[in-house]
Amino acid sequence: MRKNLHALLKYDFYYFIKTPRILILLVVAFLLSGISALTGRYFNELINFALKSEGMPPVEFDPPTIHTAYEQFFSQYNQIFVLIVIFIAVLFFAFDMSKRHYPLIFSHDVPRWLYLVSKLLVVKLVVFVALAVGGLVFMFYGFILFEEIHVLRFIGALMIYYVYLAFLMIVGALCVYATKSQFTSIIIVLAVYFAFSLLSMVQAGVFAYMPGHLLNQGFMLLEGTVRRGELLITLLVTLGLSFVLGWLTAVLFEKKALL
Amino acid sequence: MMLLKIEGLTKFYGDFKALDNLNMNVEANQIYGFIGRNGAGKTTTLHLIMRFLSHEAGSIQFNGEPVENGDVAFKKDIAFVPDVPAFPDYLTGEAVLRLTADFIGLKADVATAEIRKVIKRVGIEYPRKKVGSYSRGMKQRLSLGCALLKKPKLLLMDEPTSALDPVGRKDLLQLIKTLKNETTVLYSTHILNDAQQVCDTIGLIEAGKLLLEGRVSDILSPRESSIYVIESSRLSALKTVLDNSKLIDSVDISKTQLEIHLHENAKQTDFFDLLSKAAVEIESVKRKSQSLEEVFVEVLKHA
Repeated sequence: MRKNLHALLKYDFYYFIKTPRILILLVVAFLLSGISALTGRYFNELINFALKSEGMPPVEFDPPTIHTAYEQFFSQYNQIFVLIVIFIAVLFFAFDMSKRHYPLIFSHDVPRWLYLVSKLLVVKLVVFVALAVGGLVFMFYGFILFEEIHVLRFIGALMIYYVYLAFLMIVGALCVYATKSQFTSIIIVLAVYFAFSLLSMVQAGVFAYMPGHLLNQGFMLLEGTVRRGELLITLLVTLGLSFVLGWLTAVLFEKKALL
Repeated sequence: MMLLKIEGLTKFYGDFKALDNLNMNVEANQIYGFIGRNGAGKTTTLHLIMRFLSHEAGSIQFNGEPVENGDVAFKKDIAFVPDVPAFPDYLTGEAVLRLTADFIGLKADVATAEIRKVIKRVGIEYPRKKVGSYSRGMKQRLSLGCALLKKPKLLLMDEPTSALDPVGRKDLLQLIKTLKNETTVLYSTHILNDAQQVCDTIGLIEAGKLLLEGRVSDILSPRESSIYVIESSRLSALKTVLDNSKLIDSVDISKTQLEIHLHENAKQTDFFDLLSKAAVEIESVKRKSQSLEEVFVEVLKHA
């Protein structure tokens, strides 16, 4: 078991390390974080520059704070980073299937569930590292530009966001092994993402605790307005759904014809 | 000793019956040629043995133990060389072998020594180049290298020579021959000449059924042949007599001899009676050895 997990992890890490994929993720995280801090700091100047270029008079805004930068950060990550994570995760899960690499792995005494565990661990770790780099870059520039940063709250918000990304990655894994198509899987995961984003506007009944709410709750944690009970339930619901989907993926993959 | 025993194996793809009650016996330390036309069920059988697929009925026993869905432990002793080997393009040949060594569980220093041996043995020319730049033949060698690294009890090879150039094919067949004393090889192919060259035993599969199984020396032995060659000064007269007999399927005449294919139920004694009654001077009668290709065609004709 140990030697198989070691070999699988090595095999899966090669996918990211020996190709530009991890670099893409790190560069995107770096740029988004830097841009978020800068646009937060110079938000008023940017708006007035845009107005001026349209021939409109400038508008007086309140001076920007670190909270403007937080808003920019989560907005950028929700619009761009999440899409890249979905693409990278789906392509990663589908890689061995589409390239017919299964004999290379399953000619050995490798249980199929262990193969999935390795895949999930690696993609989650890679995304975690990218998010951590993004977080560090943002905190650095945020502190330089605003001379304040809520370190613990920001890390907490990032962790909440990461739980949501991890949930989407598991949806990706399930779709890949259910549909056997990268394209269909990407479409389904994007649809799930947009559906949960829309559901995050609904505050009634169980819908108030759907995974999409984590996006708001992370930001509310930074603002200091989060209700801890709601956050806890939403986290538990998301982790529970992730576990169920992970289990379903394992059951599906166990029965799957590999070639 | 029986290493692999398959009984009543049946596999459907939707409504299509790919394997139909297949029975097969592979004894240890021999090269078993699993021959059949494209689509006969060879690859499906190998994939079922490796548990890449699951079957609907029947059983597979490896080394005396049943192999069930979800079993993986038996794979410690089996290696598989697919028909189209595929590796991540971004890895070097050596990295693929090292990864295989990790899956096998070889310690780093042992792995290094074994990898060196295997690279030399299978002839991987550029182990430090990325696999993406390898030719199909070189990938085939790398795949065989990965399999040999495992020192398996049973080596499954799915049409390993089908896409190789003549030189590559010859080299690979030579290599397979050298494996005879180390392991058991189950080698699937539709190139009958290859199978005749390297195999001790063959199994002939058609439409998911095993039609023939036995030692190549027995199957190709003249004793088993139903083809006779007769030399005579009056070939035409003899042909006229034989053409009218129910014992005979066909008579082919050349300048110097007749080639006679006996009917499958015809007895040799009846055939000799017929010749003696023909009242034609006969110089010689010989039973003709068959090639594997001729046996193959004949078996399929009667299937």
